Amino acid sequence: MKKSLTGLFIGAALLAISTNGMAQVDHADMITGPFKSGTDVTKKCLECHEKEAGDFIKTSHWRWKGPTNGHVRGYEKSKVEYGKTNMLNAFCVTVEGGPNQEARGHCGECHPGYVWNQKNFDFADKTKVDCLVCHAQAGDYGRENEQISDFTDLKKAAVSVSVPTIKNCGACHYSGGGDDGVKHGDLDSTLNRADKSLDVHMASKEKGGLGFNCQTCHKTKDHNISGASTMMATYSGRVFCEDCHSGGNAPHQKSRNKAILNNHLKSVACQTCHIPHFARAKATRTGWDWSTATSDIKVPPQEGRVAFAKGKGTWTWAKNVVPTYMWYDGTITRYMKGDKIKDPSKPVIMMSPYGSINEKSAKIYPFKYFTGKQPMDATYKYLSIFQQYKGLWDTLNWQKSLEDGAKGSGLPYSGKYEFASTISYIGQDHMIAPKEDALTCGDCHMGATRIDWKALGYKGDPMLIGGGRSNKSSIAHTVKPADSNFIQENWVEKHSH
Amino acid sequence: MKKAVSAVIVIAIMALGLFSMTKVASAGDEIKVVAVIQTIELAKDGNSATVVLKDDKADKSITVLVDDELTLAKFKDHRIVEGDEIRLKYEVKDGKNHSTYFRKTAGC
Repeated sequence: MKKSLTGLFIGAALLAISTNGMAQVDHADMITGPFKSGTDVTKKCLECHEKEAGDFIKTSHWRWKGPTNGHVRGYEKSKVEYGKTNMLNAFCVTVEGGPNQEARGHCGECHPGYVWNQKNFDFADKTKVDCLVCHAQAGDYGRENEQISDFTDLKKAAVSVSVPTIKNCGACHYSGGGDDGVKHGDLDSTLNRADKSLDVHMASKEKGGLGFNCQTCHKTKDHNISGASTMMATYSGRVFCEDCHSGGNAPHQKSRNKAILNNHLKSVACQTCHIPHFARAKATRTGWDWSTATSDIKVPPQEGRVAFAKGKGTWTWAKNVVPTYMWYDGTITRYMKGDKIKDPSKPVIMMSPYGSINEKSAKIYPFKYFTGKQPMDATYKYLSIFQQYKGLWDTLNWQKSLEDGAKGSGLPYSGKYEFASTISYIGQDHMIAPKEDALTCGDCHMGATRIDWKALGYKGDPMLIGGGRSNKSSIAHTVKPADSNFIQENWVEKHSH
Repeated sequence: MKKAVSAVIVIAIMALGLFSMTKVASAGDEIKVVAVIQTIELAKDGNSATVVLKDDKADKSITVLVDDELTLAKFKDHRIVEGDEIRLKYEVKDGKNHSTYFRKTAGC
């Protein structure tokens, strides 16, 4: 009897360990230290976790590129892998600047490796994997200036490893674009201390939320984390609300308007009603004008945040923002490196959801509308790559930073530049409000201005004039590669071999 | 005998006290903490700021005096704002915490 009980306990313990992974494993007895470097810690990790490191180095988190898997319109047949490593955006623009891509030294602080600060980096070397940035829960782990912060207690950090918390993921994802809350609009450090009104899922249980970690929704297998972004070409599978909210957990079951609400689900994404505003706790950046960089203008702060830096240009900010609504079928149109700009007097669509009222697979989703102004080669008519870190930010010399950007990226610079306006539509999926704060009929219908029905392809407010997707017009709000003001010549594809 | 024992104990306690005071002083030379800014109050002359930070791990607030030009400039143009997480080093001088290093944990 005793033996069978012991067996039962051991079995239960093993099951707990296997289902909860390292959360249940106290590493204190396994890790003695001391450690002189992050790589020393990784070598210790590899004694037991060689397979995990092998899995990790295959992922886009490590490689900063991956297959597009049909995510980007016009690139369906592409065999080239894309990601942060070879794409441009309207924020810090690129990681490729510098004769030896020195810009990676700063941008690479969010690369989970020791230390990707130049063009060459051995992606096959597992000892370079930074396990701690995702797994350390103590020891003030962090990297700054291309090395581990002197605030870090490496042994304490190594002993504290566990499944990643939202703070681990947030260490990089909150600060996309160069500072807290800059890029995303629905992700910033206020989520670390969120109450239910900010995010019903990520707020702790003590604060009325569900206490989710990121990987509760972003299902992870063999260190490959599911998720897709309207900004990135690489695609690791989408996360849907319906992954949980279906079957017995289907939405609106207790609502007296259940039938009406569920009828909306054919055309309207959950996020559209359940993210009434984004950047609710902290302002997010809504524009970046690089053309004012190097000038001596003075711009007062906006929403309590810095609005100008001499090396970086002018920024606009907004808090508690009503999203822009667009059709989205899960694919995007995306400006890629080397795409030629057809008409520089018109904005270039950097990234946009694809979809229209005519496509049954598309739904109306909320987006952050972001405007940019960034350098464009005046002769070759494509967006330029320049060196900002250890470049423009220090030298305040556009010409030199553009020349050095060309050297690192291989994208030629003619010697003449101008500035092009850009527009980005950035998906909003986090900061889900409590149901009592969700949009109601009057927020979008009956004269409300929140949604531009005609821009979405309707003849008017479908609640007033009847119909819905069956009452479609010929207007489609979607941005197709053909009308996005750039010509996709697949420059990278042609030149990267 | 009793007196001698008492004297030894008193001396031992005094020595221990002195030792621990010395220890506190040396430990207080430079204290490192990662904490989140709760409030920033700039002095009227703009030459210093009093910043209150929350150390979540120790569940306590720390008040520091900041007077270096670069950090003050960052307060003034809002590059550093309330809610930012900071790597802070400070020294205790005349009963006050004086910042010697004040950097955000994230951002450019």
